[in-house]
Amino acid sequence: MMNFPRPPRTHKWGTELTPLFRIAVFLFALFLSGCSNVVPVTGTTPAPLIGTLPVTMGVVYDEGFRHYVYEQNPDEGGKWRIELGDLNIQFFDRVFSTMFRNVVTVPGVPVEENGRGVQAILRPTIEEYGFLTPRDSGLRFYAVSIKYRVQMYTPDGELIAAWPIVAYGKSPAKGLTGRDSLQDATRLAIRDGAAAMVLDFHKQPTIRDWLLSNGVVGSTGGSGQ
Amino acid sequence: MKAEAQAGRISHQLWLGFSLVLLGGCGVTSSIEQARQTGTGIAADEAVVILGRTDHTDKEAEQSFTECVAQTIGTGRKPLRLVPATEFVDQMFPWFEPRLAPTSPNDLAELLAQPGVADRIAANQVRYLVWIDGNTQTVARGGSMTCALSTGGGGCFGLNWWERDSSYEASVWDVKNVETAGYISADANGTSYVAGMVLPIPLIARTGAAACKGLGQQLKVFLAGDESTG
Repeated sequence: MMNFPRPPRTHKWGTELTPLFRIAVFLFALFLSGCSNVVPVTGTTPAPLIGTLPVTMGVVYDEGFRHYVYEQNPDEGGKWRIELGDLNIQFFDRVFSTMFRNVVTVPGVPVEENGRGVQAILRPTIEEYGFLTPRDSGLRFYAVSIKYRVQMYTPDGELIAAWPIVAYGKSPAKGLTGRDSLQDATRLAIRDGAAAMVLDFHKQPTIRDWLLSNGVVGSTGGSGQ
Repeated sequence: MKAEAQAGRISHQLWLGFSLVLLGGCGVTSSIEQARQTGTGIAADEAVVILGRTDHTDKEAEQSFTECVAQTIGTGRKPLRLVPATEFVDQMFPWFEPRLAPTSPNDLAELLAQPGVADRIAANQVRYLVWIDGNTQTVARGGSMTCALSTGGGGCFGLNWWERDSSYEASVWDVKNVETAGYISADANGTSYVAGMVLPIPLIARTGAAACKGLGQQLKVFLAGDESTG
């Protein structure tokens, strides 16, 4: 009886796959990776052209704010992961450090005794993030909205004021995936949120009272510096 | 043979006639109107900023349009000095963001009272702010085209058309005198076609480009306060 040599096993992964099959696997993997859109939001932060209040302000950035990530698995189409963290912090840092004479990052509210001389503490948080694609809205752009909530506390942890900021950004549809458009729209929404922060801070009646009672501004609204 | 040659000639003439009709139809008609409220003029060291009026709706001037107008003003004969819009908006942050941007010269007067704002504008020697508003819309469309592909070849047959209307207005603010210097509006209308003659042949009416060119050139003349500027 003749013994025929066993044919090489060509169907097992990682053994003797033909070059064509390897290319097909690579292309399929590439296709799958294309379905998941990761959008890290980056950009520059302009220095605000605003007056500075003679206040030492504590700022709390919770983990959720520092590393905010929005993930969406729509029923149809690709998967989105939008990473807001870094640019959010950059914008708010830049705004706060111009709005107040001294800014101290503190771990939480209330601050420890004599918490580095802070007179009040601001804590921005993100409550919601949402976006619309041109397919959703029927319009020619990607639109992003971010709902922030800003709370201001005394160093003892007593709430002085809390207010929402709803920020918008939009960018014309471009490219095949919309990734760049969504990145632009998110960057503009963060920028809009920072602008609203400057505007809305001075509109809060309880903050105005606090600024007056702490001698930061005079009764005419001018800085007490 | 003679009959075949004659048929070929007729077919050729038909195609030529069809093409001429299409070419004649895709022209752009445009009009420019100007309303001057005060005298204008600009020194060589003074600058202009071209800004798109942005809001959170779909009907706002495209960034490409404002860039095109800026390009028209800043180049050619007697170009005007421009401060790029993005650079200006960054320098003035947050005062020219969509939610805070002044909507009238009265708002501008209030804005100039904010700390540092007047100094920053003076440092850039900005004499005029030009706000561009408007957009380009498709107002009508029609026709049909069928494309087919087979082993023996393929092609497209039919005709698609659409009519676009570009309507923009530039509002010119004199920063030095804190007043509106005037308005210039540009309208351009045209019909574009894609004719399927085996290969799809596009004949595009560039209404946005026509409105940009007309508005930019008129704005240049308006700001210079000198009719000889081209």
